[in-house]
Amino acid sequence: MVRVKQRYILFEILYPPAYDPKHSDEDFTNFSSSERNALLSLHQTSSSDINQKSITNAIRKSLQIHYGDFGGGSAGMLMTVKYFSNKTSTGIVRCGRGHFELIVGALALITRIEGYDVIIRCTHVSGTIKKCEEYSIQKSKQLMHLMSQNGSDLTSWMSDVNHMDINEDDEDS
Amino acid sequence: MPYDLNIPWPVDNYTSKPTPSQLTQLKNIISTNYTLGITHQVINYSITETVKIPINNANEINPIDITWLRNELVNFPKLRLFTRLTLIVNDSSKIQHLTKLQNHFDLIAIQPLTEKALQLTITNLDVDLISLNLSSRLPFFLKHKIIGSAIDKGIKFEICYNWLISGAIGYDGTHANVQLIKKNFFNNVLQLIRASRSRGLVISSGATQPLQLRNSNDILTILKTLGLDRSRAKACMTVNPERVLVNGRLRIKSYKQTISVNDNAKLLENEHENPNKKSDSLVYKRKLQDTDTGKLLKKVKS
Repeated sequence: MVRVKQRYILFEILYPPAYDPKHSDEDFTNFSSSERNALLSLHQTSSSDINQKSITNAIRKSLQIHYGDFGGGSAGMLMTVKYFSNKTSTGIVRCGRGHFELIVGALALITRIEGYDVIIRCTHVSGTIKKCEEYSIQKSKQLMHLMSQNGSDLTSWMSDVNHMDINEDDEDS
Repeated sequence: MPYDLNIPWPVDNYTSKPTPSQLTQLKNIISTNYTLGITHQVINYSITETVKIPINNANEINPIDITWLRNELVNFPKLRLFTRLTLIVNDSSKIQHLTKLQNHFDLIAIQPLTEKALQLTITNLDVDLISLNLSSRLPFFLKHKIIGSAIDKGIKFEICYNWLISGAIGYDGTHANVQLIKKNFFNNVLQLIRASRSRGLVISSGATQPLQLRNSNDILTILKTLGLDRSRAKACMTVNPERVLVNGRLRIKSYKQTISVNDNAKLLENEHENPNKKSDSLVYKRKLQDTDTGKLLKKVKS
């Protein structure tokens, strides 16, 4: 039997420091004082305005702007946000296998969701939702462990997360 | 190790100094980039050819206070910062004093505005990187022959992705100008990919706000949907920028960019470097006659 193949994209929302004259700029100035501060400030919890629906809308809009009707139709219609956690600002998107690159691109090009300035980065792409979940849990555990210790090597964690290779996932299908 | 060869210095002339909030912004950009996994970052000082460079005043040529920045960001242990000079030129023949500037910056880049300038830069000048302005329509056609000869010489071409992510400057995605910039960006990147056959490209951020930074893999994915060669895509983030950096560093620390006395790993580590030593040609590149042994040999011979 042949079945429809999917890709699951694990993404996280980061909140970059922004200069805001209305509020106190404590976050803004303290941001780069240590690795820990920078990480904690980027990996904030999301407000309840950001939910699965608003993220779906943001991705659809970005797809429409950057890839037009063609991209929006071929990739956007089958896409669903399967999971989003406001506590960890992490989510999983499901999309068709042939067009996952368009979705990754559209995710990366989002700058704003519901009035919040955001950086979205994709950390993992997988054929099953379970592997995405396992990867996410593993990385969060590592990060929490490293954060609780003093003088731990956070840098290798950062570059490790960054070292996802989409091409490898592409070939095993 | 991923690299980012373009983090703009907030000021583009010698007369004004950056304000404290601009410097905090710069630090935030660097640290955000660092948390995205990029350890080697280059601060880019970009000037037009009309700006007068204080050639005779060695201390003033490089306005980027790299030691201060390094001290401010001391809590990021693996961060390495370098400096880069980008000259925006109409006519490359006007640049006579490039050799004098080379010792003050780790990298030298040229942004040619005309085809003639591009051609002259490639054939005559000793630069590491060519950075085309991708936001506006290029007034000339990129020919494979010219671009290929540059890549054979080891000059890389830069793609700054900040034009793609316009950030918070009143941007809502429907503004006509922003769309035009993005269209031009895609067109120019496609031209570059075609003319270079996906070889010798470097992807850097050029971000003026932390918001404009993105995960480098995501940017690669976007460029792959544009038609960048998949097998050569990874090199745009890792190998190519490393080569540019090594090339630029060799200019400072070696004899004719071929012979370096220090071992190779130290080329990309500059935190203990004395900026004054760098500009003095008698320290890293001194000839045999200038050393004690050389003087002794000379005496014996005569």
